[in-house]
Amino acid sequence: MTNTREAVLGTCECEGLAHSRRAFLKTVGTVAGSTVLATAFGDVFRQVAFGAITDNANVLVVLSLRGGADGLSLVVPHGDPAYVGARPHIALSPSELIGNDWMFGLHPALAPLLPKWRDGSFGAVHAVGTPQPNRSHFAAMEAIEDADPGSSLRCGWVNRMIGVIGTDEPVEGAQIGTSTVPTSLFGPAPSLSLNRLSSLKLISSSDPIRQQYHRQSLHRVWDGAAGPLGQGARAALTTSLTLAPLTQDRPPHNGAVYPYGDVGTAMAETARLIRAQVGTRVVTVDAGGWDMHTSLGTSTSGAMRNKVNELATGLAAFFADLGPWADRVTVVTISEFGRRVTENGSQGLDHGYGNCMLLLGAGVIGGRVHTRWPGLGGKKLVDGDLAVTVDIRSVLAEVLKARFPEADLSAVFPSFTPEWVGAVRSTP
Amino acid sequence: MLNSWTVHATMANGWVGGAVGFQPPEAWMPALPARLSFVVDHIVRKLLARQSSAALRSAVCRKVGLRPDYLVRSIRDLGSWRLGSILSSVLDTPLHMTR
Repeated sequence: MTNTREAVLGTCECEGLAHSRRAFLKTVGTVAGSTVLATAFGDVFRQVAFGAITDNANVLVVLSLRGGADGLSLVVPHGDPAYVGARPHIALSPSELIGNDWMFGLHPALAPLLPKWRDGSFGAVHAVGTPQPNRSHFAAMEAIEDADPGSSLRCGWVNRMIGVIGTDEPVEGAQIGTSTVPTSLFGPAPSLSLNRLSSLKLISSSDPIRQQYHRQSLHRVWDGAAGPLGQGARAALTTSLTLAPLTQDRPPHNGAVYPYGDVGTAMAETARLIRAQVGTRVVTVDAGGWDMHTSLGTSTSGAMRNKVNELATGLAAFFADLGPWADRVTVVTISEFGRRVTENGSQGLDHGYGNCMLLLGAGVIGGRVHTRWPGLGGKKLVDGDLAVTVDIRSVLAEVLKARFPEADLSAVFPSFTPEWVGAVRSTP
Repeated sequence: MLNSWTVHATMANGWVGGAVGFQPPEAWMPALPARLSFVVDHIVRKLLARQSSAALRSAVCRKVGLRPDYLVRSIRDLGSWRLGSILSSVLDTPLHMTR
């Protein structure tokens, strides 16, 4: 028994180098024995390796303001006579607000987005929420992300949407900011959750031949593996290859400057993911820190001002960074609930009900607040909270209908008939 | 999955600091000389208390770029990196991740 050169290097020592990227991907796809995977690999090849085929698909970014953002501070109902009286220390005066109409004005820290408000690509929907009040962070967020009340299925609306329009490529549904899959992405369609794009790689040698051997080794044991774990392994191998060019940090485009912190990082990574044209259709981004029970602050300082400023500068940088891709990207903010109308003894706000949603980008009918305003007077409140006159699913359904006309809304939001909101128009 | 595979590589290659102790490399090996496929099967039995399939041995050998009939005369024949790679490769398999 001798160790020949062939024995050391394998039957084809340059297997990883002799094949082009196209051939390699086809080989892997064939080994996988799956039409879905083979198709996905084809997409990978076209979009990443050669970039010759333009992907004009629309993209939805769902920015989740975790903790229960105060919609009455984001989009302030200064014209409601009960507003100032309910918040003697933290109410914002009309002169502090921007983009005012007779009833509403924007928090001044949203100033980086004021140009978009004025050009009509930034709008808001107010008095929006779930059908029933729920002041538990976890239960309320799950209700919003599941968006199928009464169902026992662990399947979120984003996952149902991907199931309707997608091709089972995990990049189509991506969560950035945490590697924990949110409820909206739960379900049978594969999805991707990660902290940073740079973490999305197969830890391997820097030697390209050893990298090839590593991948081939994993394919040999996982390509025939049944069940969710086998699917997950194959998806991980596919996706890590698809997004390999994105694992190295690159500066933003067009001079965009993101705020320091998680929101800026997540939005920058999202822009890179979209620009890479790897088939991403829906991205969900978590942005925590909106649970402000104490010291909400003023228009110039404090927790709310800082969070709104981070949000606004992050979104402004995101759209600048996207450049021409911005024409097909729509951003929607959601939050599990609004805050109480009346401030508490710590000059903060406790958990409430009705809230606002911000909509930006492609298709948005902006520069205005879409609402059937219920009012903040005593009898108009629900247990002291802003009432909900617009079901959050109606807003999301309107976005999907306009931007993803191929989506079957009855499958995405079962047993729900959306109402017209008028916040989004269909565009090419 | 990627995170799991990263953890396996980190542990198997000893890329952890602090008070984590590792047995000497020789302790993983069967009596030598032995074919690489036998070495892999020995390690699978030690790690997973299961016998290995030919497909698994083939996959692990592929990871380290050697043929299954490669003769391991001493641990030095595996070079500085292959033992850690074999260990992580065994941990990366369905045999480990579904047990």
